[in-house]
Amino acid sequence: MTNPNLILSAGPVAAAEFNQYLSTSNKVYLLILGNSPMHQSLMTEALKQAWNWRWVITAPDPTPLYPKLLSMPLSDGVAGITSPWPSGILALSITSGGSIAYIVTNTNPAEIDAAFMLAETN
Amino acid sequence: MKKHIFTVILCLNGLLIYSQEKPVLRIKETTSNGKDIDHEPNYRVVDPNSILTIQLDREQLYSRMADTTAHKELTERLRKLRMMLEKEVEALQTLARAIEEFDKGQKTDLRWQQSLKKLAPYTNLILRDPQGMKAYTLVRGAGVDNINDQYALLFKAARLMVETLEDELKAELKANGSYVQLGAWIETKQGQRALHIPGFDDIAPQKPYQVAQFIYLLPEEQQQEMKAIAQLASVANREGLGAALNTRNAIRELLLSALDTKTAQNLQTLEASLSSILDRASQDLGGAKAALEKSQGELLLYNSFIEATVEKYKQPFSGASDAHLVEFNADVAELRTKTEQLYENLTSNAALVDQQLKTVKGGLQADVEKLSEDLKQLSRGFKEELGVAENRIRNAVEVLVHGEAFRTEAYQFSQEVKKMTLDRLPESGTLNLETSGERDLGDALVIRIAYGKGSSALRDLQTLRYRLYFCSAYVRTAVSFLFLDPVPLLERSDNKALFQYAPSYSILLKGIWKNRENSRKSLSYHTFFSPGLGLNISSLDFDGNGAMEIGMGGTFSIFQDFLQLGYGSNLFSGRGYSFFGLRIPVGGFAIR
Repeated sequence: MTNPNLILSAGPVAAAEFNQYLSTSNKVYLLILGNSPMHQSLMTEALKQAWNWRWVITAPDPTPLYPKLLSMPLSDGVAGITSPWPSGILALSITSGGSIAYIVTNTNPAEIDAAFMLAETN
Repeated sequence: MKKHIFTVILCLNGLLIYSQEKPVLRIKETTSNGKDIDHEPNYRVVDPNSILTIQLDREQLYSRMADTTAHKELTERLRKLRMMLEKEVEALQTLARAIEEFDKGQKTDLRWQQSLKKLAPYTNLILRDPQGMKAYTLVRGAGVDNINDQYALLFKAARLMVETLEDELKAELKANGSYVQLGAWIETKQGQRALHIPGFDDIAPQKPYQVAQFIYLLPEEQQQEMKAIAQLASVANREGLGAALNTRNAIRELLLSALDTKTAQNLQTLEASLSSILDRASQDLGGAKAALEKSQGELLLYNSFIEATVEKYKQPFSGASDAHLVEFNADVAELRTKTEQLYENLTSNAALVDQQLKTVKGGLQADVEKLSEDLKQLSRGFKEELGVAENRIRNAVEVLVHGEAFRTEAYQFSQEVKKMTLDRLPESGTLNLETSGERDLGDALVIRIAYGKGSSALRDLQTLRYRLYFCSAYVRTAVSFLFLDPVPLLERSDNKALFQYAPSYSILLKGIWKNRENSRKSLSYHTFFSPGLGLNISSLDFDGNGAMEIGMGGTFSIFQDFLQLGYGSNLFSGRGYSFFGLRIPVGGFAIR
């Protein structure tokens, strides 16, 4: 059964909601950072794969999440992210242990596969 | 403490296994009775009539070739990808297990996560590499939402990457002029011979020849051995054993038998013919006279050298065995040089005689013409015979003194062996031993693969050395000097064996003590132990009246038939006897 899309609220409350989702250790996430048509397209593709332990979180307003995201550990092989938050990042995949596993920069479905596979195995 | 030592040994053992290189060449042997055997790296023996399929492991080939060049990083990536592909089934099973664990409601014990983490090396290898990501995108297509399909595609992408990287490496190795050569040689009593591997060389194949698996009759060299042993037995029965057996005498026998060839005897006849013609009509020989006289002189010199050598080896030896061997080797070398010279001189003299034939008068012309032909043919024949004899005696003496006589000189690729760039290199080659010419059990087979770059020296990739032996049942004859005790054990009054000596031969069933695989791994089983079971037939003289009697019995042989033990019966008197037999280096003796 497909998992539902977890949509974060607008404003500072988004960070708290995000932290709450992260506290569960039996899921991996694809976090979509925005609400543009590209993000929408990405979300549609990602939801097709939201299955079992794979979940999708959409943050229509991602700004409140940046401090948290910048402080999160990175899996081996992930290039460091520095402030200010780079504009090209469309989404991130996050491991069950709370590390950033992959950075998605385009809407290619293969990118979403990679994001989930790397998040669940790292 | 013991525990620590054990741990260290285990670790070292692990390191050794880890560091062990995989071979470049893999051999599949198809025996003459159609059995296929995949060789393991520790196989040392092949059936002499088999067909060998030589498979080239490209992964290892590229890896070894690139190891010494600037392509190490590329080959390392290829190695990891190939390792990943080897684990495909296991990885997909792990994924299925993780899904099952999750579905079983074990969402909280997180065992499914531990299963998935085992797949990290594979996802990282493909999806974190831009080239890998490109390959994954290429193989993915649309509509793949199933997790199982995604992981299967990961391995498909790995395969695509392997192909791409191999092409890249191949192109680079081609661009820098790298090539590979594969060759095979056989080492027989007659010397070294390069063999034909279709697709890899232009060497002409030899006429088909099968090594007989079942031999019941004594071959010529064993007949010589038998004659010599019969003489020895006669001397031993007459004068005692010490007078008959002498290792140095055995070596002398070898040299004398080598010189006792038909052509050597003909040399003396030829010299006599020459002398006769020169005496008969010296004036009528015209311009050919000088060449004939020269030939006569050379033949006289050569014959006296042979006579002196034979005379020398007829004398009892003194001094250390090593010194004697050095002297022996020098004499064989001298013999070779003198024969080469004789060949050159007689051939050029014969050519001179041919030129001057018109100046020879009357009836002598036909005689001289024939003599010229004889000169050419005889010298050529003797040169070839001596080559064979020289190899035989050298090998036999080396084995007598040093044991294994594997030739260590380099196996050089001839001009006929193709230099193949990687894009032209076949996946495998076939070496049909039946078309490798005359050979025998114990001969050596060498397969070598090497690579070169431009005009720089070749570098070895792998050299395989085998010995030819049957690895299933076969029959061979053996000649031995028999020590037999005609007095039954319980009837002896003085409790002392009374040996009689007799020549004998055995028909032995061999190759039955180990299975096909073990028989190929153990060289000593063939070269040292070589056990056999069979029938012994001997020529006896229990009455001492000089009339030969026939004995027949069962025998067990060991150590290349150097030792035989058995029990037989005198067919004339009906008396039983126990015996042991020794193989003695005389006559046509050769260790195979």
